[in-house]
Amino acid sequence: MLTATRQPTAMSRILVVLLMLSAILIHSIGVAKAQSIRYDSRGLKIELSDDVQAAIDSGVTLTFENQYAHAKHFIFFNWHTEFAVHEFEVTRHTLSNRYLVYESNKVGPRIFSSTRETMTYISRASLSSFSNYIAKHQAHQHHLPSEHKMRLRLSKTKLPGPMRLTAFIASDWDLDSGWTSWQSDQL
Amino acid sequence: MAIRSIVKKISSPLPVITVCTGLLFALSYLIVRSLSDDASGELQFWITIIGSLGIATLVFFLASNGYTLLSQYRRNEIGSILTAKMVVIFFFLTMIPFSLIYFFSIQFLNKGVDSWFDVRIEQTVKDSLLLSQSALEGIKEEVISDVERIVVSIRQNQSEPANELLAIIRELRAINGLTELSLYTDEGRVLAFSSNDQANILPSPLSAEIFSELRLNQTYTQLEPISPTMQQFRVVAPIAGNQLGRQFYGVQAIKLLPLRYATLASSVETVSNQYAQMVFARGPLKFSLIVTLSLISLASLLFSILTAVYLSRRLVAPISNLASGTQKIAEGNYGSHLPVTSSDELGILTKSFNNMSSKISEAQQIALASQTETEQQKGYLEAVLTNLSSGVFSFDGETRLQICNSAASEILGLEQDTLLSKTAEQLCQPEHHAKQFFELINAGIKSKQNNWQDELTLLGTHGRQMLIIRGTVLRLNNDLFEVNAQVIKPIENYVIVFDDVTNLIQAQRDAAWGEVARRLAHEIKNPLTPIQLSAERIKLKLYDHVDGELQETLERSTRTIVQQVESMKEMVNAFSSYAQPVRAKLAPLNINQLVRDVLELHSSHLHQIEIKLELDDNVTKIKANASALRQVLNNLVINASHALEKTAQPMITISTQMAAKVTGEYIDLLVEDNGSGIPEDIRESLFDPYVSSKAKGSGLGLAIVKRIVEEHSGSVWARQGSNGGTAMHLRLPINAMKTYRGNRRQNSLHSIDINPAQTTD
Repeated sequence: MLTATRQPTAMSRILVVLLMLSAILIHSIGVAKAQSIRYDSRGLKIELSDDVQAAIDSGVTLTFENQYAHAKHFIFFNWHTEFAVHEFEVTRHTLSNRYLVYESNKVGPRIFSSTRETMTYISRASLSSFSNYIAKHQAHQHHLPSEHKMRLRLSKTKLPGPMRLTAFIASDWDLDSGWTSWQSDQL
Repeated sequence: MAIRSIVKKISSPLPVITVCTGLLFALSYLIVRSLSDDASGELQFWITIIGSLGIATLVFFLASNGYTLLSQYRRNEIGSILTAKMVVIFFFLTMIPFSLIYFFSIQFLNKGVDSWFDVRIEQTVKDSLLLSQSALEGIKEEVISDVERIVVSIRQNQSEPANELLAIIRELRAINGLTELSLYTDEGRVLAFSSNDQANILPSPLSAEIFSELRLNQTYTQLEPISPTMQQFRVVAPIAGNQLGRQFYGVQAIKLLPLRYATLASSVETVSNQYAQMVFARGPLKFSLIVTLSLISLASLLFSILTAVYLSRRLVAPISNLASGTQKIAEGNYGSHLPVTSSDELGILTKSFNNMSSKISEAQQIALASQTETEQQKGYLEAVLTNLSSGVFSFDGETRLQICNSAASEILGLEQDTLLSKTAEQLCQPEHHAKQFFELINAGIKSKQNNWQDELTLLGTHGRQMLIIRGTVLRLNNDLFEVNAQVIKPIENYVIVFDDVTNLIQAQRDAAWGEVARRLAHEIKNPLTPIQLSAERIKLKLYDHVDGELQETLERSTRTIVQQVESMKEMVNAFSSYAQPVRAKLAPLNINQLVRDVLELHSSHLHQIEIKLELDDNVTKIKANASALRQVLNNLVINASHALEKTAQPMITISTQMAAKVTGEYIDLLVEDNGSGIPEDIRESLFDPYVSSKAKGSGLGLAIVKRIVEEHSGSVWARQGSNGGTAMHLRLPINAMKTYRGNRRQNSLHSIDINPAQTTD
């Protein structure tokens, strides 16, 4: 028996294309939010991907941004205020085969023999700095209920120009802890 | 509607192309900025955003324009196909060079980036780095040697008190040109410390790694960068354990790398790092450049296609207007004017179209006026033909009947629709009462005579008709002429005009016979009485004066004179009766009853003749003059009885029935005998006056029958009977006044309409 089939219209085809693009976008966002910097019982743990390890061994300077925020609860919303940023610049010194960490608030670099030691230092320094940030704000406690959040991530915008587009697209370069609330006893 | 209007305004070419051009420029600017080394990485974000926004905007406008174009194509709107074709042409014209440029750009880009990385340069950079490391290694060995001497010196002076030890440390530092020299316990406590920087009161702390080396009784050596252009060597060496009452001692010596070495080493380090970065970033760099090139190329391509769409619409718009205007003219909407939007060739074409449209409109108005005038003339001609009492036929060159007026239809008793558009040959085909008429016309047309005339007696639906037919050839083009090398022959049409002259002839005959009757009455009848009286007086005067044979002769002669005079009187009376018109009113008459009445009247002298009646009870009443028809029946019965005088078994058959052979409402009355029949010599003139087969007959009986029947719009004819005798056939209309001949003014009959309810007994 013959049956009549309705041909898809141009608008329906456009809608299908838009839906596919939306699905791809949502998928890429989901991938981007995969946390390569995570918290465990021993503190922050930074896992470098092979690409990032290769980049730092090739002399590429990596900049880790440690951001702090003070979130206030107001009705149903959280207002993030009083941002603070602490940066760690990690580079490899080829002549001495050591990894150097420059911090925004210190003059000289810190020298490490491996990336593991370097990342461990950054995670500890981040938590320490965040602890100081909390202590500073606890002295000026606001009457509104509030919490403190921290985020540690690799800054892609401070990578060398040719590598930025790849870093924006490739998930290997997504080193981000996301915004996480911390209790003082965890620090 | 407001939203649609806003969308339409936004989608107009100028805003769209302006927005897209702005986005393309912004994208290009950001891409150029992003490729420079000092650009901020945030530009990449804005490139992505603006590039995506620009491409999305272009895709949106392209999709909306494509959808609009598709909708117009499905609605068969004028110009949509041409626009689509132009867009496709523009697309291919753009796509072909674009593809070539894009392909070669990618190739050049790959080759260009690869050309940056030369093996010799890479080896040079490595050698430079190795050389720097070798140089630094030499310096390091010197520092280590110095530190070993310092260790020996400290061992030799280990028994000295602490203040002496500090002085020795200071001296050793100064002698060896060290930046800092310090002595540690295994717990990390500083025993002695000396620095060339007076502000530096504390030595650099030892890391856990260094202590691990010391515990293993190994010397720790490390080159440490302290600033982008300054580097130092840190050497930590163990001192033999328990020599100072402790587990061990450690001496740390820090020596700043000489500035010249430090600068060169830093430069080599920087270059080596940059080259390593470039090698590492070669793949991402290619990808980034290809994506950037693809992005700007795709945006440019989309922009070109969008511009092609708007350009095609703009170019096609005047052509669409022209096509639309032409279509309007084709539909009969003349005089439409198109907007002239440009002064180029299309503008000239539009102006020419407007002029042409105006002229067509004027010509159409003139043609309309002419057509109206023609139709008026045609209407006038039709009115004339309709009101004309003569029948008119017009045949075209193919002898096809084109015009048939109502009088023609009425005379022939045929519907116009059954005649029109048929050829003269076709009109002769069917068997109908007018076949002879059309055969005569066909013969006249075939004769090719310019003018011809003929007469015809036709027995039609109105009875016997005498027609005078005149034919004329009508030539529309009298001369031969040529059109496109073809000789155009004159068109021959044929006009046939015919009249029913039955009434005229009848009137003439009536008048003639009336004159004869008058003359007979005056010239013959009047002298008869004196003749008769004179003969009787002669007999009266002379009868007694003569005797014998003379008396007998007188008696016989006077009797003969009186008898002949009486006979002449009867003849004159009969002739007068024939000539005198019937002056009585028509009334419904049952013809069957009339037959029975007449037979009853003649029953006394018809007792030797067998009478056979075949009367149809379904015969309707007719409108007739009863006394006149009674006379008709009397004459026919008497003629039949006279014809049967010498017949052995005489028989008269009288039958009535509805006429079936021709259309119309008629009845047939048949009086048939089995006598000797009609003599051959009088068969043609049987119904003329003074024609008779009987020795004593006046010859007016059948003439009177014929006259009365014709006065009733009927017809009578004689034929050979089935029994060898004579059959007199009468055909009478049911309603004489509604027939053609019943309308004649000269007829003295007057009608009383038959009620339809009385149509049957």
